[in-house]
Amino acid sequence: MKIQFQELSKEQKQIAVLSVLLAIGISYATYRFALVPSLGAMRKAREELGEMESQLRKAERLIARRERIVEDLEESSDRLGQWVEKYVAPQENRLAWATEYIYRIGREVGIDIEAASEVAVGLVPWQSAPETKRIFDPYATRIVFRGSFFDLVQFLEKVEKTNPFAIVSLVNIAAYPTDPEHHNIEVRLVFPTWAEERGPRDIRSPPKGVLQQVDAGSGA
Amino acid sequence: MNLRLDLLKDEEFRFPGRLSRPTMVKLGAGAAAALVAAVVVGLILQGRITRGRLQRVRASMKKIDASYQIVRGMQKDLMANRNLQNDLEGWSRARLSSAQLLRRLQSIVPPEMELKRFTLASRFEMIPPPKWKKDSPPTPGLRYTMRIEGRVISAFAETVVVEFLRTLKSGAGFGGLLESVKLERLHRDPTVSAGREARVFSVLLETVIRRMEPQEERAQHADEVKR
Repeated sequence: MKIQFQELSKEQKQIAVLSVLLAIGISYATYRFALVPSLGAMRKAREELGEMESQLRKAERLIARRERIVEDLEESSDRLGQWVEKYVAPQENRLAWATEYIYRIGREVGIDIEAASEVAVGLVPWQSAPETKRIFDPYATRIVFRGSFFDLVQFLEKVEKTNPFAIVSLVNIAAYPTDPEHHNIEVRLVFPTWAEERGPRDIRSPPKGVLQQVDAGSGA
Repeated sequence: MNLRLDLLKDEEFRFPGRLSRPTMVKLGAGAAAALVAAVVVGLILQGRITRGRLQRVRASMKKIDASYQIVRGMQKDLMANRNLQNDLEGWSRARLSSAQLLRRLQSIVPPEMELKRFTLASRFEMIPPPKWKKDSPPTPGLRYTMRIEGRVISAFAETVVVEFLRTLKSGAGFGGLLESVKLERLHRDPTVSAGREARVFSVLLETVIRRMEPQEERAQHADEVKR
């Protein structure tokens, strides 16, 4: 049976229009208040799942590398410990440390050091801004002696070989009028030293029994 | 005049195809409803599956979290140690071997030349970041200056000094290291007795800034430049 809209009574027409409007309203409400939030929640859950899965993979990969990390950390901590002990001016008694080193080298190359003293370095350019601050700052000592050019070269060579981080910041050779073979020599050596608020505690090493702890935690 | 007579009632009308229009409409509506229902059921199922997987992943994460935090902490410690090591290695990479500089200087000084004073000094400087990397902080570096003062006793003293400057700039001298070579003064030596030609001179050499950063960072920097 074919229904002609024109043939419907006014009341039937109103009911038909209302039914259509109601159907549209219900559809919209279902879409707006049920479908959209559930789709949104699902999208969010999927995103969270993606993140969690990638985090889990990352965590598993990292845990799988635990032995290597512990090994590397031990190795770097040992190396740094040795470097700091041998080559870095300590926080206390720096002059004594530097003097002992300088006089030892002097004796080894056969020069008689007249004086070794501390020199103020002043503000190093990287200390002025927090973003450029470094872990080590310079500590300078001034050494004065009389010797030949070869004595000086030997002394500097020995210093540079025995401390890979020492910087020769000044060499001043002035001819000595009465003795052309020997000169007045001034050398300034700069050693790295811990910057303010830094110290050997900054060298990190793995806690004892950490691998067992990790294995117990991950059930490996 | 044409007259068209339609003697069929609406309900008696037959469609020429296998399916009538109302049947097609009913089938279409049914299919649409089934599709909607399938989508809804699919969404619900997918939601449940996602939530289930999420719970399982959370549980797995919780299980290994303690170990993960320990290993992550050690990885951070390792990075901190590497920073420390890089800082120290920067000192080593930036410095020039003063003993080698002196040996080389000695090998290139011509026999007519007497050196009266030699001064080598270094100072720390900050190298600003390149224009394309404005936000990164400046890098510290080390710059050396050398002042050579001496005397040449020769009728061709000027030529000897100029040739010496050329050698200083060349590969046999300090070629690759230098940024500038400047003759500060060259004049007749008043202390030399009459009849002898002698000139005193002073030369100032300045090296390029040597970055206090480890090799990897420099390689990275070079790569960035290439890119």
